[in-house]
Amino acid sequence: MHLWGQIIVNGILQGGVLGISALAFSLQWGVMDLINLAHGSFQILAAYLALTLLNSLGIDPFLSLPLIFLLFFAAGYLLQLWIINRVISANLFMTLLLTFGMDFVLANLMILLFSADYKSINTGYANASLHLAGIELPVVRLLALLFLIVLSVLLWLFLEYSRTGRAIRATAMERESARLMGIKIPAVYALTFGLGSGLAAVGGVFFGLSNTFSPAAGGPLTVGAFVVTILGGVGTSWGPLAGGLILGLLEAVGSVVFGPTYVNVITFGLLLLVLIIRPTGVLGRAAR
Amino acid sequence: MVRKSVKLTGLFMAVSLLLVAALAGCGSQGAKQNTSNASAADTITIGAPDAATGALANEGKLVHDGYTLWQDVVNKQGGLLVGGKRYKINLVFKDDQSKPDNDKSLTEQMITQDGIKLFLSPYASPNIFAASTVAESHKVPMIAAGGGAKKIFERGYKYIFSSYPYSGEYLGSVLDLLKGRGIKTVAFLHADDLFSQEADQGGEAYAKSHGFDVVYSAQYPSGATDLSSQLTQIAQKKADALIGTGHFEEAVQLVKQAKQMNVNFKAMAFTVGPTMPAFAQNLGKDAEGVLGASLWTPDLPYKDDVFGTAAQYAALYKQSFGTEPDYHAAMASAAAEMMGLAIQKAGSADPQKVRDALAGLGTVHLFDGSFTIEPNGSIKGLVLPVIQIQNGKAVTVWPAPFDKNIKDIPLPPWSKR
Repeated sequence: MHLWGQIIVNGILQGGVLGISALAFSLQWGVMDLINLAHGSFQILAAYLALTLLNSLGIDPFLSLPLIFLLFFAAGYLLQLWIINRVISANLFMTLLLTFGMDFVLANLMILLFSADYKSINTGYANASLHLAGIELPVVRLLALLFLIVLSVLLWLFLEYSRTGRAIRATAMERESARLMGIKIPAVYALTFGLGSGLAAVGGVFFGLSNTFSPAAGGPLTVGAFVVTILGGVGTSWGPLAGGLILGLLEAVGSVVFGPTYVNVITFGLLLLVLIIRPTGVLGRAAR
Repeated sequence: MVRKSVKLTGLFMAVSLLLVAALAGCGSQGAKQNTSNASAADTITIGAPDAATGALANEGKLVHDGYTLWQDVVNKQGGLLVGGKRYKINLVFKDDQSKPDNDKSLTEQMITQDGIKLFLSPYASPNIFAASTVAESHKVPMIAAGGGAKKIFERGYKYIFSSYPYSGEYLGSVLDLLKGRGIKTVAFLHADDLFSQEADQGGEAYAKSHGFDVVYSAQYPSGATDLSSQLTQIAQKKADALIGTGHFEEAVQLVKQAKQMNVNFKAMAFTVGPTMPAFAQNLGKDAEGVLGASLWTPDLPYKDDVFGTAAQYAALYKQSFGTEPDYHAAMASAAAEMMGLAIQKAGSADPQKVRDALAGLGTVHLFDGSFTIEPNGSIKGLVLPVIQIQNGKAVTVWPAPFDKNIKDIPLPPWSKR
């Protein structure tokens, strides 16, 4: 096993895990200026759903993934339509409070439903890996990276070339003008939040496959998504991929050079640095 | 320009809220209602802040159940016999949401508003550390179950006692076991909390003084989700054994990633993790052969008057709560039992008398073993067992004669499993 080769690979793969978790968060933030503090709990809920489907019906998480995506899309769509839209045009503080509250409700609901016990989605391939030229490639992490790349491309194509995607971008750029052009803002927001919820669920299933989770695990996921989003830049489909890779690589290399105890110092130090030097993130657009 | 500043304000608020969320942990629920009827003359009320919600809710429940079992068993026997009269035990729990700061305010509140004068501790060393400062200032005794950090007992306090040995002693039995199995080089990985640091330092010191070669040692932040690069480094150092002192999730993650990275060890041992049934459930057959430092198992040959033998304790627990007890629950029951013994010895529930009785208990023999209460409130002399996961179950493999149960050390490589 080549030490540094393996560590670089570890970092890239961890970047995939971090990035896929941040995809939804970044989309919701970029389009709606909505910082969804319940993001992590959404993901954990999806992981529980995948686990339940696996344990009770024997459906593999990758087979149930489309179903979970659709369920979360629908739930997110309705949530935005009925609840979040009521406060989203008020100041940002209101949506923060709302999603903060949603996070508490979700986390405690999950304790009631699933108990505080730790769970993981343990499929036959959850801990499998490919061996390539002396390098180990854990299958789930590799798939997370592939999914992240594919989803980023699809998201980009959708936002760039579809009619609905253009409506979403127009809304993100200038809400008032978009409304004057006949775009139904509440519908665009509902669609975006739905899409974000679906993507969050995908990230959650990957988290469940690669980690142990409990109802309390949502908080750190939200913080992680927050860091990745700021690093990569808000308002671009490639932000989570870039942010994830940068953070994953830096953490892997940093944890070996300086020791794993400094990982958080490195992460938040970098975050601070980016906020000072390039507040729009590595790939983010200038503030409009 | 206006819009930009609004956005920046929003960003600032988001960061602050996230920090609050991170500090708060997840899940919150108001303190449980005080159901005490402390005024009743034939009742002894004992308070316990506990982690019903938040990050420690899992272990918090075990401690809660351990205390509760003692209360129920004693009450079923007619109550605690003190000076010829039987008193019912009434435990009052209040949810600390796993946060040490809450333990301070809850303990204060229970002492000053609810008039509670005897305490069992919340779960986890930082929480005990916080709660015991308040108990000390009010001269109210507290018996700790759920944390053996040495720092708790190094403050010269007179009102804190414990049923736990020091965290630094947890790994001694594991290393004794490994020594007999030809393990020479060990790698240590530990989390950055109080308990893990002390357990690791104690373990590393013990390893070095017992002829092991410590080839790797590192601290990672609690809650780390990716330790693959550390495992890659450890593999390069060719360590025979991995010893992890952290939390449940990290122990599971280390086994998962060791397999993913195809890093083979002759033995893997953890302080927290393997003793909990969820460990084998989460890992399936990958958990086979993993060792766990434990404080108590139902197989141990000890007994007392309240619970009977260790096995009978396990049966009582299962009857009440539907699951097998792990050491968190048993050690909590033992702490509650110590409180009972002290009240009986004091002949009263007066906090000062109970404290003096605790300090003078000397060597006690309970269902979890025999141990001596030290002048600083900690205990010594408890023989710590080691468990190994075999066919999905935790089997006692240490001390002798249980060492005949050891299987598959050295562990087969991942490719041969």
